[in-house]
Amino acid sequence: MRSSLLRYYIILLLLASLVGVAFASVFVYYPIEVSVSPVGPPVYFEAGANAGGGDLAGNTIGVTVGSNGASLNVTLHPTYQKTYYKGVAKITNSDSNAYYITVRVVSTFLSLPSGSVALLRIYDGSSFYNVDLTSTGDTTIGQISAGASWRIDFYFYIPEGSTLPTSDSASVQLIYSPSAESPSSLP
Amino acid sequence: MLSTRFVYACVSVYYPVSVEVYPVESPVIFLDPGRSDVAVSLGPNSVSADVTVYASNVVDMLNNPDFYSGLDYWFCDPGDYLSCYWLSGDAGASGGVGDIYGYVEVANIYTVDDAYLLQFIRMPSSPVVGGVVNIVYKLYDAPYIYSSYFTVGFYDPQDGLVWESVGVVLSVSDAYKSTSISVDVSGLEPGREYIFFIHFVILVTLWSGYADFRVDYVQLTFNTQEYSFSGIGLKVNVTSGGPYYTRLVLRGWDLDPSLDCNITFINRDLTESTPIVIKDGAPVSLDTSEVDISIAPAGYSSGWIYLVLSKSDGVSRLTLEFQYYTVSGGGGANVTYPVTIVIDPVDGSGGGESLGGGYTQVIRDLELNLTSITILGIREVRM
Repeated sequence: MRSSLLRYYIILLLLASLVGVAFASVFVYYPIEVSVSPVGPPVYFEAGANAGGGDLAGNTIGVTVGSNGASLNVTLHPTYQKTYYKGVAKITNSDSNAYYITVRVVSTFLSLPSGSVALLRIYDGSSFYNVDLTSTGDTTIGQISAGASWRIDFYFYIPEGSTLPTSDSASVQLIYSPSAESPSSLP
Repeated sequence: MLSTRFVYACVSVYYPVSVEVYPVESPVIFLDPGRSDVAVSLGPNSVSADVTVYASNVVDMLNNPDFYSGLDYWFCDPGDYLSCYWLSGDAGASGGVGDIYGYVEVANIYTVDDAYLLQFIRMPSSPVVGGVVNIVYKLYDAPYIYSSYFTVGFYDPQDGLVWESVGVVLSVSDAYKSTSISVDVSGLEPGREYIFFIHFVILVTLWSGYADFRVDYVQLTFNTQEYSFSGIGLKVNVTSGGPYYTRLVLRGWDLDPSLDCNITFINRDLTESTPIVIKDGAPVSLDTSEVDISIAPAGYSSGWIYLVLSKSDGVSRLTLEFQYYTVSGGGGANVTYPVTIVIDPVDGSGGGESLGGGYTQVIRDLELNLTSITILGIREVRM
C-alpha cells in the first residue's frame, strides 16, 4: 500500500516536471526600426499624343492614367487585318537615376480569334520592344535613363473571316527597379 | 559599391496596366467596281482584295456611238438635198438614231447626192495597228429607181488626206443590219486629230423622191501597239465613323519591263492623291499622298483606287497596302489592308469582218465645208 502510494507521487512528480520543461520558453528581444519615407513615383505613366483621339467607327482611344501616374488603363477598338495605335501612352523617368524596366503579362487576351496578334510595343527612341499580350511572362525592356520618356504603342492583327468578340482584356504590370535583377512574383 | 548594390537589390515597383479591346467591324471596306476589264476577289470581310486588271489594246474612239439621246458630238456635212437629223426612236432601233434624209429632186435624167455624218477623233498616243467599225444601219426609204451605198473613213483636215472604205451597197429595208468593217489605219499618226465619217451616197434616176438612211449605232475601235488601261481598279466605301485619311504604299512588285503605270487614290470629291509611279518596269514613287474619305450617299462610293497604265506585253504583279488613319498624318488608329494587283494583257486584235478590197487611201477634195458644220435638228419620225 505504501509502495503503491509512493509510486503514485513519483509519477505525479515526473509529469509535473515534464510540463514545466515544455513551457519554459526563452524570449530574446532585438530592436528593429523600420522607417518609411514615401516618395513620389520617379517613373510614371503619361497619356500619349494620340490618347483621347479618334478610334475606328466613331470611337475614342481611351487612356486613363492613375492620379499619380502609377497605373494605366487603355481602351482600344481594333478591326480586321492590321490595326496600329501609335503614341497611346508614355513612360517617363523624372528621377536622376536610371531604372530597369520589365513588363509582365499577368493575364492575356482570351477571346480574340485564333491567329490574332496583340502586342504592346515600347519605343525607346531607337528600338522597339514587343510584349506579347497573348502570352503570360516577363519581357525585359532595358534601362530607362534619367529624364527619358518612352512611347507605348499597340498593334493588333485579327484574321479576316473570324468572329469578333464583343470585348476582351489583358492585365499587365510595368515593373521598374534600379537593379537589373529579375523582379520576383508578388505574394 | 557593395552597399549600393545591397540597397538597390530588393527594390522593384509594380504598376498595373489594363488593356481592354472592343473589336469593331471594319469601318472601311472594298467593293468590286463592276467592270468587265477588272476582276476582283474580295476577302470574307471585304478588307483584302486581289485585283486583276485586263489591259487591252482596244480603244473606243467615238462619243455617243448609239445616238441615244441626241446628235451630241456628231456633225453633218449636208448635200444638195440630203441633210442630217436625229430621231428619238425607230422600230427595231435601240434608242435614238442618226438620220440622213432629204427629198432628192431629179432635174434631168439622174441626180447624185450625198451627205456625211462625222465626228472629230484624236488618235491614241500609242501607235495604232488596226481597227474596226461596227455599224448598225438601214436604208429606210429611197426613190423608185436608185442606187445607193455608204462608206466609212477618215479625213485629215490639215493635209486633205482621206482614208475611205469600199462602199456597202444599200437596199431599202425595214430591218436594221449590222456590219463590221476592218480598218486599214496605216498612215494615221498617233496623237493627231482626224475626222471620222459615215458617207451616204445615192444615185436617183428619173423620179424624185425621199431618201432616208438611218444609223442606230456606230462604234470605232482601234487596236493599239501598246496595251493600256485607264479606270477604277477597286472601290472603297466608308461604312461608319470617319473621316479617315488614306494612302497607298507599294510593298512588292514583279514587273514587266515595258510597264508604265500610275496608281492614285481619288475620293468622291474628286480629290486625287499624288501617284505611285512605275516607269519602264521600275518603281519611281512608292506611295501616294494622303486623301480623306468619308461616308458617301447611298449608291455612291467613298473613293477608289485608280490606275492608268500602258505596256507592250507580259504580266506584272504589284503588292500594295491600303492604309487609313483616324487622324491626319498617320495618327490615331492606323489600319492596313492588303491589296494585290495583277496586270494581265488581253489581246483585242482581230476585230471585224473585212468587206474585201479594204480601204483606199486617196487624196481628193471631200468638199467638207468645216466652217459650216453644225449640230442638226430633230426630225419627226415619218412612218
